[in-house]
Amino acid sequence: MEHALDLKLPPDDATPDEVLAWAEADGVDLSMLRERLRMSPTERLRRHEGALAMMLAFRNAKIKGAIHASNRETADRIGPS
Amino acid sequence: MLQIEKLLIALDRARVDYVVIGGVAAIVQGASYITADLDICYRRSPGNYQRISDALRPFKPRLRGVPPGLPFKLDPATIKAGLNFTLETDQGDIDLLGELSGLGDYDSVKACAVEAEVYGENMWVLTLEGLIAAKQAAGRAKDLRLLPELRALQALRAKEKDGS
Repeated sequence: MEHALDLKLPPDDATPDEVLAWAEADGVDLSMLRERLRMSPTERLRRHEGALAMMLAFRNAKIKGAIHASNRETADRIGPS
Repeated sequence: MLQIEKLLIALDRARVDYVVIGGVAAIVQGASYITADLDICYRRSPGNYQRISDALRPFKPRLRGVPPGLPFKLDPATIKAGLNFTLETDQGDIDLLGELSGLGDYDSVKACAVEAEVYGENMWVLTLEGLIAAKQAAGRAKDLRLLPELRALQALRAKEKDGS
């Protein structure tokens, strides 16, 4: 379910420095963006492929970990066969 | 996992008229966003319906989020009868949009796009300004959450242009 987001945007006439200060206060990592802008579009997409693969691997590991923990819990409850 | 390169190259080689939009466009423009699907806005024309179905057929496109086994064929008649399609393929998820909220149809979207070299091919990709307009119009939390980064990229580009 979508939740409302309290996001106050800077005015349209804000200077680039004002926008950057606002974005940084909002948690944007400006040094990472500067690094991305030095890359070519293809390099940016290759970086994304790596990040997506890592995210999916973490998610799978978390699911496997949860299943493993659940199995252990059940086995402990049942006791030795 | 999403194979952006394979999907884009297939669309390009089939000479599909499309613009890369959404998360992948944001990444091409420099965002650090992570997305699991490719969104494109396509031209609504009979020739393009044929090219889209030819390009995606090898990847076995099917509707996403519907019960398995539900009959579906992505052919020109299906595309003509619909507008927006959320599909899964053997190369990952792809959304085909005939219109993009905040911008309009393919021609309006292309007017807000730039040509970029991606994977060795020239492709049309939505600009930061176009992405911001579309995300604001969509208005969902997941879209709005991207705005600070998109606005920051715009500001960094402006400063770079000014040499400051």
